[in-house]
Amino acid sequence: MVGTATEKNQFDEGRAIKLAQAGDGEAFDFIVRQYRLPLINVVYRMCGNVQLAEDAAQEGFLRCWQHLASYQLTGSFRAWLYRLALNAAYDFLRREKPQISIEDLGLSATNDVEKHVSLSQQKDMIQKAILQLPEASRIVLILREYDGLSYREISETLEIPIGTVMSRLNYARRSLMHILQPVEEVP
Amino acid sequence: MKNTCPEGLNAYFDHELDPVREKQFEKHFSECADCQATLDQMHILHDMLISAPEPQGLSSEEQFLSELKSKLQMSGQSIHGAPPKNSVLLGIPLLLIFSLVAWQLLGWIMGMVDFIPGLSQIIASLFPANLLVDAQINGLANFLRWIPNANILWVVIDWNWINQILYLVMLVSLYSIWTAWWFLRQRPEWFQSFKNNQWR
Repeated sequence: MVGTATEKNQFDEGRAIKLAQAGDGEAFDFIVRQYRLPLINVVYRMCGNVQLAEDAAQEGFLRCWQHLASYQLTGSFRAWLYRLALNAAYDFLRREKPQISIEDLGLSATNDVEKHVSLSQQKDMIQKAILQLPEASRIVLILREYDGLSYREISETLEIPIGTVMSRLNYARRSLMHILQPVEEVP
Repeated sequence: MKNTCPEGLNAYFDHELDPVREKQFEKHFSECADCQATLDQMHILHDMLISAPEPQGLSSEEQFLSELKSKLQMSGQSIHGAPPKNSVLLGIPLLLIFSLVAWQLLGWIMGMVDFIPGLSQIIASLFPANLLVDAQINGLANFLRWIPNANILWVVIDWNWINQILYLVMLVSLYSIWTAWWFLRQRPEWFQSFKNNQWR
């Protein structure tokens, strides 16, 4: 055992991972508490469905626990955890694709830029615009903009070269600028 | 952006460039209104993205943890106990097979045990008969004379190929079952998908 459960007020991530690898449930609890919201947020931005985001985050943690013992502390743990949750989300989405569409995500369907666009409508439109991006570019943008992952971490999370990260991010930003153009023009 | 504009505006915006390249970009911005405008748009876009709605109606942290623990228990694992180590799970059947082989070799040398029916005969057939008989009469068999029936077992040759094959099939089947169980334990979601007929 690397340490005891009572010593963990000042957990740092590396220590918590080592303890959890040794089977310490409290250390794993700490990891879950630490990453619950970021994971849910990433999946939510990706699919726009809160329930699916929570389920995918749970599945991600489940897979994390199952594979934690063999996890090597060489790469970014965050990137690894994100990959697990995103893969879980893709699995869910593949299964449930026919039932989920952008229109069903509880977003307002207004596109009328002639009218005054309230703040909440604008937020809805941003979320909707994000969902209009191709999946591959969308996830790169989300990981960068919302979670602040470095290009290297994104590359590890998605298992793609850094050059691809850069080109997808460039594409996503340009597409979003194009999609959101009318909103920007509203006085 | 003009053709002469340096590539990597996104990398500059995301602070992914080394200091030298960053300086080059900053110098370029003072001369290029297009790039400056694109950079400004990136800032606006970032601010807009950050203002996108947060997920609403999430379950509480405690509820999330409790559901996670239930799922872990349902998948045959507990959060309070060491997670399975791949090396151990793979090592156990390998150790069992190694032990079996070791016992068999010991049994073969002593002439008392034949865990794998017919194996002694196969091994015997691999060596020149004279050598084996010499070894039996002058070597190990004499040395192991105190063991009842040692000599008899050494000499009796029973070509029980069917037993041999059945035994190997049994071993392969057991190992396959073990491997399948181990694999499903590693990827319970596949098992779940299979149960839900998602593979059709």
